[in-house]
Amino acid sequence: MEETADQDLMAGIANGDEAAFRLLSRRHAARAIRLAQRIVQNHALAEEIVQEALLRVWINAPRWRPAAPFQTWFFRIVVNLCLNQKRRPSFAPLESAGDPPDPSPDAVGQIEARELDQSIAAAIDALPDRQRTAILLTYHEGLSNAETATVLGTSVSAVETLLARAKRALRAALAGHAR
Amino acid sequence: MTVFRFQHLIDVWGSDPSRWPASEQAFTGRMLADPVARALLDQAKMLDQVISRAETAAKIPDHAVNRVLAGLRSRPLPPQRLPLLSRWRRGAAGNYWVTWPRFAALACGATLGIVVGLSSLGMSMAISLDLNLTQTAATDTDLSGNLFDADSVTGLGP
Repeated sequence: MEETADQDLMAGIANGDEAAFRLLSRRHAARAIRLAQRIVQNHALAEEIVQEALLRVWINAPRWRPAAPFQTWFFRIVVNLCLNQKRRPSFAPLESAGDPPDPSPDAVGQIEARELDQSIAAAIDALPDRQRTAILLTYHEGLSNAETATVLGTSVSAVETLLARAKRALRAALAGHAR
Repeated sequence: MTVFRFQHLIDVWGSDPSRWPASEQAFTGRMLADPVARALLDQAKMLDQVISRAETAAKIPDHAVNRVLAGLRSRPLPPQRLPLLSRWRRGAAGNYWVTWPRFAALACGATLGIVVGLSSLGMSMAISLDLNLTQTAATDTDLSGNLFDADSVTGLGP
């Protein structure tokens, strides 16, 4: 059953097969948590959102039609829940404080690389929600622009605009770090 | 193709021109002869690497996944939302022997409702007809009493 395609598992879930639901949940939970975490920037909230998204998969499975891959539909649920959550006021997560740098003398190069990574990660976090989500879906999840448009519920040209604006901001952050 | 257009393509499609749409790739070779365009592409490759590195650094521990799955197991799953049409189809075509008593009960209920409705309609019509006759008789009596009461005019003459 481990190799069963998502589409077949969804057919089972639509008929109330809980084992298929558990398997599908385990298969997609990690990527969904990672995506949610990067959008909402909060571990606990990301887990809650993914749990809610999985429940919605269960509830709406009989209505699901395999017009698009399951993952695209699932990501759309997760992203919608995340963006809805982001519209509400929230506390700053503790993890945003960052880790202390490694003080060992042979790690200077690693520290510089890590600082660059951190400044780009901070620049990604500072992007508007939809631009950040577009970057996460294309770079992190490897989705095409068309798939990203489906997940975000928008057109491909709108996704292209989001990506172009996001890249402009990230390029500026990279240039600022190089100075 | 201008440098600005080239930069836009890099932003939208990434720093690997082989992944760009075929219509745009035709002009890429000519653009790469330009040192400015080549510098833009090198910068974009570096940015792509940094973004990808930043993204892949975020690994999700197993216990986070286990917490989510345990949360799902801790409570009964809610009922699924079936489309109305498919629910009817499933009942009518897929499982006739389970659903026929429901249809029979529905038909009996409908028949009983019609019979009760018709009989009560007949009763109410009979009652109203009877009332009409009684009222007509009473009205006739009263009118004749008021109009032709001989006592009421007695002694009024000069």
